[in-house]
Amino acid sequence: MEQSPLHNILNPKSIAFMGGSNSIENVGTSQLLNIVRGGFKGKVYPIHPREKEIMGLKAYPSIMELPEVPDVAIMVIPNHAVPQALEDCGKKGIRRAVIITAGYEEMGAEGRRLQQHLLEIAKKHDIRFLGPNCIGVINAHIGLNTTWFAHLYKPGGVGIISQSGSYVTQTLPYFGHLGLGLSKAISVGNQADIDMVDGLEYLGQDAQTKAIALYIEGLKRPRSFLQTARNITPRKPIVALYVGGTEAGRRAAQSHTGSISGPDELYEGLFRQCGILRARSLTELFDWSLALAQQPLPNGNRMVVLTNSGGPATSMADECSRHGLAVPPFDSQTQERIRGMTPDTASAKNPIDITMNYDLDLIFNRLPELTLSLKDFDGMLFYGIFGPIHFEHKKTMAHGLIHIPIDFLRDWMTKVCQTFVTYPEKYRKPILCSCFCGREDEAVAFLQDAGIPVYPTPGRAVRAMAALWKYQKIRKGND
Amino acid sequence: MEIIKRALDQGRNMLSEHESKELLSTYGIPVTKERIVQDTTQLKEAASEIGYPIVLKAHSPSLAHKTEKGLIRVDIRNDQEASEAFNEIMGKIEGSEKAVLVQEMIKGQRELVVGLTRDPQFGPCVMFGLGGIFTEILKDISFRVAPLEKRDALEMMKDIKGHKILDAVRGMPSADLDALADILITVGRMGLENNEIKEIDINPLILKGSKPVAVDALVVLEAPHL
Repeated sequence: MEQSPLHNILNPKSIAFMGGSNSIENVGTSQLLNIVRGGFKGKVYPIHPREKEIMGLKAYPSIMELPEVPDVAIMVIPNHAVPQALEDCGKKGIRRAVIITAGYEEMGAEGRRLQQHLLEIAKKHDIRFLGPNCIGVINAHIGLNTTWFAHLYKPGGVGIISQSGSYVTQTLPYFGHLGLGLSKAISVGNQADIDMVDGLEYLGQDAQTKAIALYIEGLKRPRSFLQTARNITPRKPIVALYVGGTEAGRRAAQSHTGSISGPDELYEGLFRQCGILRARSLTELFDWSLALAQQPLPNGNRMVVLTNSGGPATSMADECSRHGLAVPPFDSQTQERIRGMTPDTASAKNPIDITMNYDLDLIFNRLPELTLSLKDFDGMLFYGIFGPIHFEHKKTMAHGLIHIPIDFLRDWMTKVCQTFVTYPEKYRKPILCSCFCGREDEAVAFLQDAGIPVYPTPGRAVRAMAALWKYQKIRKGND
Repeated sequence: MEIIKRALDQGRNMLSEHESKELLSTYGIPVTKERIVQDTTQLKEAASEIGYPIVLKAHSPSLAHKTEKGLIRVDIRNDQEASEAFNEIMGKIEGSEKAVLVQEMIKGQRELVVGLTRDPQFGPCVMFGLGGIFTEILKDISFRVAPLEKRDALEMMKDIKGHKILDAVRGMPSADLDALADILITVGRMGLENNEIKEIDINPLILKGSKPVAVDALVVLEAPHL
């Protein structure tokens, strides 16, 4: 099989970087800094007309002066300088480029002409390039980050292709909060040469990418996209957010079919035809990709809802019923067993609500073990993480009044969580949690880092579970 | 396709209802029995051949959306009603090539729409949905990019909110899904094989018992760019 043009862009052994300096004032410097200090192990060659040294690296006046032929050239330079730089790449033998520079197709007719010119130069020299008007790529597993936000987070299994650079740059801290680990991120920009279909082909084959998230404003090759995506979705989930014209895109048409076929309707059909899950917001796009990358798929829609609180229990059950999931009552024998284990105030029917207490073994281990082993249930929605931050706050309040055994509670929480995180694999059933605390609570961070998503609201956990079930149906070919 | 070429040669950008159905028919899509008549003698012949009840519609090479213009009379049960309706419709048509389309009246409560649109990037796309007056009011429709596989055709029927009307409901038999799927696949193929076809409406496509029949159709053309 022909190697993807993205392979060397995402896995370069050496990079020529044009546009970084020793001043943080220009964006290129931030990007170069991320490459130099982000963990990337390959060679980096800054190119600069005047500087002799940039960030401790020897700088070269031009591509032509480089001591070797780098795998990729990254350009964050004014657009009048791009054609010559691309020519130099060609002459030097560089066959891949990332053109961050903006001011092309997105700027109208003159920009389109400039972009066409870049394509001609690239074609002449057999160069494949990403962009222009993009922010580049991230390969989290090798510490490569060409964007201008630092990537300080754990790598993971979500691969993103985005037409907006912001959604693979400014979202990095958000991914961090959500515990969403990236495998690769590709900002395709204007897609002058390498486009979303190329990205999809690459991530479809990439072993580290377990789920693919797409942010689409408009496809250049919808028919190729259909073929490519359709081959991927039986084995790897794709979630897409399409944000494009709705009414504005409608054309004059004489038939009902023509007048009703706005782009939104066509994209809806295309996604269904491909077996792509369509997210309706950025929140859904990332929530669902996270769950799909990390959790096993449910074999049915019957959920255990396990909580220590009535409101979240009811919210989860309510969301389930509106998103194709069921919360059937346990059989009487199981209900009897649950009643035997829980306080008198508890509800044992499903949702289980053990009510407020500190029996961590009960909610994290004994009840999950009992209910996940039931063959009539396919997954679990969990609300009941009151981790160390909760104890810390109590301790602050209780200072001098009551003794809070914080070390004991912390150790206990760690112990029950260590067992809890083994359940999805052990029972082959997904678990999704929700907690109003984020990673400032060690327990939340622990669960997220061990692969169990913890969402900020009960509803988001349920809708992510519904996405897992929907994808399972797509995979089995009966959605 | 001869029908398409003839229309384009005449400078038209659409086929008449009758031509549209002839085209669908050559692709094996079931359409109403119908004849074009220009006087009451022809009308009587056609009516007895097709059998009452019948429908009369204004016929013109360039006429779309006849319902809105009051150019259709349905459920005509005898010769007298037929003559009255014929004269009324003829009186409303302008131009020299006046004629009326005599059509069998398809009885069925379930009206669907099947369509085709050619998107500059997606290419030919097939539409399925609730038909008749509901098409534009409810917009309960789904699309697929042609060519359609059988799986696509079956799935897109399930996509619409009202898909349960295809089941056996209120004493009506369940729709012949294979026949419907064939129509959807075929309409996609018509788009792929004829670059001059810009849009197709089959609306309504009525379920006669379980079998779909194209009751009205419109094919919009666009001369290929040379």
